[in-house]
Amino acid sequence: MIERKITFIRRIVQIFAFVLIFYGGWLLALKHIEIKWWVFEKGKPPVELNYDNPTHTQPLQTFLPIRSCRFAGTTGVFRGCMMFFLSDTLAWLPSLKNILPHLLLLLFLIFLFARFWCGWLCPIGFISEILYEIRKALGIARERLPKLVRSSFKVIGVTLLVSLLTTSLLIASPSVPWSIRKPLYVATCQICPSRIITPLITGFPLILNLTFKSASTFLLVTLFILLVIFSLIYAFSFIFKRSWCKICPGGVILSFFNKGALITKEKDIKKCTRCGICANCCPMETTEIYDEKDKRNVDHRECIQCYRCVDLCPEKDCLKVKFLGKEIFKS
Amino acid sequence: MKDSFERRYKREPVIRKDERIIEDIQKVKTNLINLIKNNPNRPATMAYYDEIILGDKRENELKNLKNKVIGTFCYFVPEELIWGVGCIPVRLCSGFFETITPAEEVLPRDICPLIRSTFGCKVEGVGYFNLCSLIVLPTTCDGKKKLGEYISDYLPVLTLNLPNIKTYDMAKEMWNKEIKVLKSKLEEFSGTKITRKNLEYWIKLFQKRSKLFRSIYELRKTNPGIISHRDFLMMVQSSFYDDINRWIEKTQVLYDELVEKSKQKNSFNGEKLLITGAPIIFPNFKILNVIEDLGALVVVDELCSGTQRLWDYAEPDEWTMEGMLESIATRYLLPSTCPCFTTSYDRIDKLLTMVDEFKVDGVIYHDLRLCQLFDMERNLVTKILKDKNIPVLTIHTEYSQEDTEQIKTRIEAFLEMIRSKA
Repeated sequence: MIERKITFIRRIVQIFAFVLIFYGGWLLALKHIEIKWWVFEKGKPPVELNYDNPTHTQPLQTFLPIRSCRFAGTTGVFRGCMMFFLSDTLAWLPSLKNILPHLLLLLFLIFLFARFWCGWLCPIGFISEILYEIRKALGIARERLPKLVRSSFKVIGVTLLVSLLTTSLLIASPSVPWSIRKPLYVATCQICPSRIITPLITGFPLILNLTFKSASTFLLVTLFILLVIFSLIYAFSFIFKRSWCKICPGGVILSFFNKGALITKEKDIKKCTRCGICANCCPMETTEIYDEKDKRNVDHRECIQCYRCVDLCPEKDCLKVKFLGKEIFKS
Repeated sequence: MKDSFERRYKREPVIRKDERIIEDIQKVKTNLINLIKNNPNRPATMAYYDEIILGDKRENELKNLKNKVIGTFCYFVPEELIWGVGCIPVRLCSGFFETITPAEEVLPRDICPLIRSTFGCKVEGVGYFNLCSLIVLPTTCDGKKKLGEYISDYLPVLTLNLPNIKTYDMAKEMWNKEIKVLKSKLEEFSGTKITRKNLEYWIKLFQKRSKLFRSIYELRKTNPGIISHRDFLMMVQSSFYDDINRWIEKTQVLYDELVEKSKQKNSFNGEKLLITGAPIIFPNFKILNVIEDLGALVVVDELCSGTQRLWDYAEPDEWTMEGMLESIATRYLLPSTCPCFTTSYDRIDKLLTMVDEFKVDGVIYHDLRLCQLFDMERNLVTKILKDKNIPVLTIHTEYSQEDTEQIKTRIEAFLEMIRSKA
């Protein structure tokens, strides 16, 4: 008998998504059309940055609202995450015709599931969960972020998103000097911890050296320091559950859609005894579901929709997950 | 655990041994059980609970066991930890009228009868209190807060500092620390350490117990006549004293029997009542006796000596030591509807849910005289219930049997009112 059913199903989905996203190209033997300005194939020298070939013009290029990292190399199926797509688009400002299909697909996917992507499909989130599964097996206690840190993480996440997108817009303008534009190109990827984790996992060479000729050293050093900080935050998900996910700028975008997405969580406030189990088990350390005593709908911005609370809730039918009004899971 | 103060100023414990009181108690217990046994519809398995509640057998059993017995009070003492260190928890809250007078030699007359009665058990040397070698006492109401000082004349007492305001972050954090301290003190007391495996075993056993209890509770929703509330409370309250493994085993048998019974047609058509308020503890079943004599039935209760005791269970997020302790701390604080916390909202919500789920005809608010907390909450609770068109009757009473007739008249009138309404 599986006691924690939803968590069990989620793990299976996560493993499946992880394998598909990071090794799918290899398993399914899909022929990819390479992103020309960044070739990872063995034996070939990296092709120089080719500004004539922005990503969005690549056919068969799908962007998911998760960290399906493009650094997964040839084995990856989806070659970039939503953040990469957005910053790239803003940097190149291509014609609407080119990006519209991608954008619409992306919006549709976000509207379907919102942060369900984070909890169930994101491979980077999954790896951070593996980290804390290891900790659990070692019997080391879980820690919670102090309140101040958590509330500042919220602000940092939004700031990060805004600044990443504005820098992308910034480099589109020709009035900005070249030395600044070059290092800031796809700054999203340069500071993303996934840039280190994904190559480590998929077996592709670590690409740490992003130095371009005639680039501003100051900017490069800043970006590198940010990368180190974020990677450390990611590594801390060993003891703080999903610590990176609390600032992930991609997650911030999704979080705005959490309320109003097709997948919703409902709470029967009458059945709730406020036993606090939902607040205890939340990987994002939120207490919104525990606090709610008025409304039926308990979707809130920070929820990654992992449904751990639904799984552990001791009151029958108190918490429910609905998709298009149909019940999927209930406590 | 003795304070330096207690070493400096020697205090002599008051001990009385009155054979008459012990006899009286025995008589009251057997009389009540015989009265309950009269019910022809009574499940056969109840005989086992009679034995535990009567106490003699279980007391002898505990005497012969090597394990130390730890006395607990109220809802808030984590029994998983006590079992975990190899001791046996016994909840001491008592319902004997006979032991009240002896306690008044020490305690003031103007505190609630439950506390006086419980303390009287120690003074008179009655029942399970005598077997305990340690008391764990949470600071719930004012009476219980100060009771520890008096009990410490007889026994070592561990007082748990219960927060007054039930909030997730502050209160739970504080209570979590308190539980950790309790764990280390219990380990020190018993000389055994709680291991991860061991605690996991007990938590899972307690989960099993709660789930079993919940399924019996669910059965009563559709077919309330299958078990009388006196029997139900005896079932719950035998878990105060009994070995948990055996209790689960026997309750499983009871559950199976009740399932069989519930397949028959619902035989009960009387008024369905809900009882809430101050704890009703065996043998203080005065109100229940009256209600059931009058043909009505209490179908559900919201008492800390009833449904509340077995309803909740600890559900750890992860089975690490810290995770389990946190889940225990949460379980023994947040779901409580004890009026010793500042707000009564959780209690009212729970009451309204119960009224809805059991389609209750009326609510009896049991108010023990001199329990200020339930008395303070009464107005708010009854007002909200009345606004929802649910008849409420407040019964203000003591442990003595004197006012039985008066209660009977009032409940009769109340039932009459419900009938005329319908």
